[in-house]
Amino acid sequence: MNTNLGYLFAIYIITWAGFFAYVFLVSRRQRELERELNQLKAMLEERRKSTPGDGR
Amino acid sequence: MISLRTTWLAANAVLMAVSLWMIFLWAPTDANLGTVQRALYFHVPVSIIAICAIILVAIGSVVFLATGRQKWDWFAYASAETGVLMGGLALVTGAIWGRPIWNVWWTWDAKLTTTLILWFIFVGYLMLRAYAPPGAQGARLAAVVGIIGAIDAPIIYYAADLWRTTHPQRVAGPGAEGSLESEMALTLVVSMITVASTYAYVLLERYRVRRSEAELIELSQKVRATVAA
Repeated sequence: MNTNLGYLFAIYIITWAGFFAYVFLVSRRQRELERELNQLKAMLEERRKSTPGDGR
Repeated sequence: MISLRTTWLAANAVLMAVSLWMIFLWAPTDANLGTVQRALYFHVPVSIIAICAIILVAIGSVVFLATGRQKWDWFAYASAETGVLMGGLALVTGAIWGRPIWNVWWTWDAKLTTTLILWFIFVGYLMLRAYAPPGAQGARLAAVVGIIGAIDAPIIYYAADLWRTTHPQRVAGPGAEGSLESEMALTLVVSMITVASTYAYVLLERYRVRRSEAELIELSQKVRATVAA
């Protein structure tokens, strides 16, 4: 019975490792996107300020 | 102030700790299968969630085709990607469970084969999204694949009834023939809630990424237009 313990631990480790690795990758991607979005927004804002009469 | 996401993440961590305690220390050991039977508390929830994921892909796809609202396409896309993860985990945990019980890592059993087909449907959906032309056309093509792919969901669920299989009978849910001791059943329910809650969190995170990607494309076009003007 105890010889199967290794298989059991493998199942739990693989499952949680899979979950956490995916969450980590998704969170990292989200942070990158937010950074890029903020850069673009700042760029647009700068251009708007430097273009007088553009009320958009 | 603590955000809802942080609270949700903390709640998931607590649920994980509780379910692990129940699985390894509280639930009784199965008299026939021994310790490895405890794998059921993980294999069953991830398999059910993988089936739910393709149903969510189909729902998102149907609503997207009916309304044309992009957020439903993002939802279907996010569900397909998380579905690959859940389907992959269902296959891997099933194979590790099968080795000590059946003495093989894999067998062309109806339940296993239809689950493998589901995983390929998710992969096919994502490949289509990656290679199809960007925009509405690619989204519509993928939506059709998502809707057709959902046909596999009831086939997996009823595979053990439709064909002679070596896979154990269902122990919970509609039409279940097997049964569990009350402590085992409660552990399975807690584990199911834990996996479902974690899945929902991951799905929402992936949806946010998809929304940000779309926002980034839109903003890049605006910047290009401003520079060109």
